[in-house]
Amino acid sequence: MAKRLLFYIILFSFIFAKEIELGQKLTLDSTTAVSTLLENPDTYLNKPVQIAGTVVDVCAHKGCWIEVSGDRPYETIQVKVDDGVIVFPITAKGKNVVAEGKLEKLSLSDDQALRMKKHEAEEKGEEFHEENCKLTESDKTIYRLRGLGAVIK
Amino acid sequence: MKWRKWNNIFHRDLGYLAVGLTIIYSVSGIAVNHVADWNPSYIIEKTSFQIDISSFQSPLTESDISHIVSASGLTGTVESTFMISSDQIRIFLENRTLDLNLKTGEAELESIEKRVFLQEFNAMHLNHPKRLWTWMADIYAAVLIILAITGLFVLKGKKGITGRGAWLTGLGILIPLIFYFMYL
Repeated sequence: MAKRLLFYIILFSFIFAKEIELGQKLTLDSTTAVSTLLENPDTYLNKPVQIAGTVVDVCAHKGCWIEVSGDRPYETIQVKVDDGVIVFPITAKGKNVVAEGKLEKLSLSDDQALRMKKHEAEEKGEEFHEENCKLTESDKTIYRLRGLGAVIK
Repeated sequence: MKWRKWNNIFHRDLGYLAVGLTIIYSVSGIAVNHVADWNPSYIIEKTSFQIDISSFQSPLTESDISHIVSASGLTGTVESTFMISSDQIRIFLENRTLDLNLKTGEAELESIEKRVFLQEFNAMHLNHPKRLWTWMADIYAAVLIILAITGLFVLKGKKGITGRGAWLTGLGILIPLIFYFMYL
């Protein structure tokens, strides 16, 4: 009985320990550093790129975005996917990810940027006080990856 | 009529076959329908507390992080860490994320727990397994179409499709149309 239990534990550990593949298969041979993308965004705009890093945050409701750490301190880039096409599991937090997608630029008005911040706060279950919110240029010009596929390790 | 007998046998047996998947898809359907209000697959709990940070100095060492983890009452291996800002660290453990403000000692722990059955149901409904399951889900959808059509002809007479059935079928088609034109 104990041997059989051990066998199933090992079997299930093997099954569930494997990588999680989401969306399209990765096709690019090399990754581009997040810092390189954000330093020269126009070079990579609308072009397929591959990034790698740690998943530092996940959309808690729909799993429609992840925040991936960059190679420079405090830097992250968001990988956004169409709702339902890829659902990032909330358990991906802290795991390594390799993701592919196209770099996109969002140019938001003050009102749009404010609404986006409010929406993000709601998704994270945080309180949002519009009167305390001071918008910066990085809130209005956002570079993010329109995700096509990812592997979580 | 012989065709009706076969229609009913077909409807009955496909109905039996579809029970399991119908329960999975419908329960998950309700859960996923309210995705704006909750995470249908996981229970996410956040708790706030204070940690004494007087003994830690920036940059934090692995030993400091181990101390923070044990001071938070957590066990398990640290999977990774990330500095959100110069005074804010995020520490990842299996299904737990600890955010700590290194200036104030304010900590927030996020714990993730699987919703029993719902997580599995949603994973199947949202086609996470992909591969052969995609075909299985397509077959199930085709079975539902067959069940709907054969269901129309189970009964004959006043309660069948030529009587009461026609009105109820019409109403069933009308309901989504009303909502479509009302909201879209």
